Amino acid sequence: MAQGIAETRLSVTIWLRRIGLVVGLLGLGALYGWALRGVEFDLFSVFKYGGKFFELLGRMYPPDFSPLPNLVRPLLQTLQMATLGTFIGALMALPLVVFGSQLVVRSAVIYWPVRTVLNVMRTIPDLLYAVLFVAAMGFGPAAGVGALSFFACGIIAKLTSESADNINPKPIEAVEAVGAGKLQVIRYAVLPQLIPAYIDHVIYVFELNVRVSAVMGYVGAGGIGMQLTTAMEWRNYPQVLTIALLIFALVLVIDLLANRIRDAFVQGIAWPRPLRFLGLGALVALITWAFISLEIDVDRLIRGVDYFRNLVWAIITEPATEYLGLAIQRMVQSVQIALVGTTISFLISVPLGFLASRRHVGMPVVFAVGMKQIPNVIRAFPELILAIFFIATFGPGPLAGVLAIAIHSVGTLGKFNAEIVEKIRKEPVEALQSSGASRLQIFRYAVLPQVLPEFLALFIYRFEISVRAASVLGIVGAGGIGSLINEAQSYRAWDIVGICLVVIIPTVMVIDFLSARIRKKLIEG
Amino acid sequence: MGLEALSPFCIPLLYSFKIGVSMATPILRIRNLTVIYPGVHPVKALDNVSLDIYPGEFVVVAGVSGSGKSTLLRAINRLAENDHARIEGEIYFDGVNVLKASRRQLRELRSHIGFIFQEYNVVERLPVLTNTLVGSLAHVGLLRSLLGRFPREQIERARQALVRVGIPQPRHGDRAARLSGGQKQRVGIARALMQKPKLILADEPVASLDPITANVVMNIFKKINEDEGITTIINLHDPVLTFKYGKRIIGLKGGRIIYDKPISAINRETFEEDIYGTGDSGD
Repeated sequence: MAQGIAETRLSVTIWLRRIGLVVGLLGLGALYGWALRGVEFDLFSVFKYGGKFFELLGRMYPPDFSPLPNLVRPLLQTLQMATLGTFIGALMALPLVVFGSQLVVRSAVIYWPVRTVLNVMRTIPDLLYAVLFVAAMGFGPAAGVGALSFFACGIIAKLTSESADNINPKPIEAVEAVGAGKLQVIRYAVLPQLIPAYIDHVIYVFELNVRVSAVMGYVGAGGIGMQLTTAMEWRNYPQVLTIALLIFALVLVIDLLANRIRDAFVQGIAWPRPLRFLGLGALVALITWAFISLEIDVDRLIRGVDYFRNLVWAIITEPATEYLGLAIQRMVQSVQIALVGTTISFLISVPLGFLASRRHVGMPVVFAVGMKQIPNVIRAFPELILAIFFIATFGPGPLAGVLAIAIHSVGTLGKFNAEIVEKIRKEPVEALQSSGASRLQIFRYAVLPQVLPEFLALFIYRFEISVRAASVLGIVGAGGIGSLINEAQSYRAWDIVGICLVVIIPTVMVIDFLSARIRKKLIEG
Repeated sequence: MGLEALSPFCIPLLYSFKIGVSMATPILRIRNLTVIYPGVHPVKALDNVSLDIYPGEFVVVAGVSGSGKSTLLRAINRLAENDHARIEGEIYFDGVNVLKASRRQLRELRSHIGFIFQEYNVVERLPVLTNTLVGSLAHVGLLRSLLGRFPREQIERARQALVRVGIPQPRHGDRAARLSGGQKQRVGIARALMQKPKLILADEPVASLDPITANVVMNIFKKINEDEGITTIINLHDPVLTFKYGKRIIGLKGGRIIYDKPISAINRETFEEDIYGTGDSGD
């Protein structure tokens, strides 16, 4: 009897689970149907006009190197902006890290406000900072440095305080056990663990900043992006290619250097003393050089602070509420662009991840190494440049944004997917081999269960980043709330820019929060 | 030092006192097995090993780490090839030449050999039941298995196997990651039982477990061997467990068999000195 009841209960749960699955699949279908409509995505036009993309590339070839002498200075300026922005951002991040984690001050009165500031800073996308700083300080590299500093500060502070939360408590206990004071504990147990992480994050953000710095000129914040915009507007395609190649080369060189330095830090390779001083000297020289040649004057800084005070004041006292509906509508489109773009990227990156990893596929090593370079090359092209190219192909609108995100995200998703596949534990694979399972069965039961949750978690994380990107791609005409910001900016309607901020910040925060919850669930089960 | 005479190339003896064990044909026949891991410094992990294992035997392979125990077991089902090992010699399992088997034949062979790993090798993210069902993959249709639709009777068998090794029904739906080490190893054994194995190979199955759990798990192996007569070969480095559970003990040192005797014929003290001792008598 009891057996019978147990069985009925079991079959009921099975049915409930099946119904849940069907409902979930229908919901997912509806979500994507809605998103695809929202971004005006149709495969027909992708294929119909896709050829034009290559036509465009054809018109760019051969690149026109004659303006090269005039491009050296903007290129250097791009690098200077990135350097200075990262440096200032890294300094600004320090107090936020110290007071934003519970290492030093355990009082919630300090901890929570700092964390909130940090979270708000992190929600604002790179180019939106640029728009705001250009509005505040006028055109030129000074605005770029300001924007990059804040952008860098948000990420560095966030990543480092996460590292601080995950610090190994055992050394702390050991140092406390010998009777050390609080500051001694920080000096001997916390900092030795935290400083490598901090430096690692600073280097990572520097890489990001070089990419952002290269396109900031589009909104007038200095750097080589200005030249790119001009060339694009004049339809001087050979020159566009030259500038794109220059940016590509700069990013590649910086990535390469950064990787070398990071590896040295991570592996704790002790540099010989003279080399260390040389490196430090070069760094100081670079920052000083950047500082002097960018000619940042204090008056404009003060004016900038004034502007921000007015902006915040305007948002609070006289918000442009009549634009709230429109802003929300465009923000929804931005989220749709991010969703569709990231999904397409995911569909490309999963097979790429398997092909680019040397294990479990049995591909020749040369092939895998070749596949691995695809994401590296893609990553060197900023989203914005891709978006500009796609707008030239498909016309302005959300489709260009979708494609820009879809292609650019392959850079990170493909790279990390390959790393996930390479990290697979081989023990379960052997267990299945030893029981006589076939290759497909091994894939289904030993490989897929290990990689799929990680793939999905990575996808969702990338979606977070794509939402930020999608909310500024409109500045160049690729749909979403960025288009509203662009219009408002050209009419100097700062109250509308304000209302856009009011919409973007909470949306990104909610998406970040949900994403973190889902990822945690996926990974920990 | 008198042992030295016994150690090289000890030829396996027939144990006529083993009642109820068929002596006619060995289930596993190993001749001149040499395994080399190539590389800049090639390592000869096994050196000219010959062995006969008879149906129903419970064999413990003893030796320090690096003596070639794992390589021996991993050569039998050719798992060692995953580590690019070169396997030379002859291995006959149930009359089939293992080293000459095609991929398909190898899969068939492997499906009759249950393998148990030191690190359990469960798929952490899959439920306990699915981890057990994995043992039946070789005999479930490809499409069914890819869709995860296992036959009812296999599910029933998996549940029985789990209960038998001491994982109660309510835990069958848990993710394997939530189990303790001892429980994971029980799942590993249940997975092997699903294969209806003719031979069980266990590579240091209790090395990662505490002494009490280790005994519990060793008792499971013992019971399976006694109840169903499944031939079992277990690698152990712990002399206490070796003497407690082994019925026939094979001593490995430096990739060679230096001992092959029933437990009753072994002088424990000299054995320990010879197998685990640091004296250079072996070389």
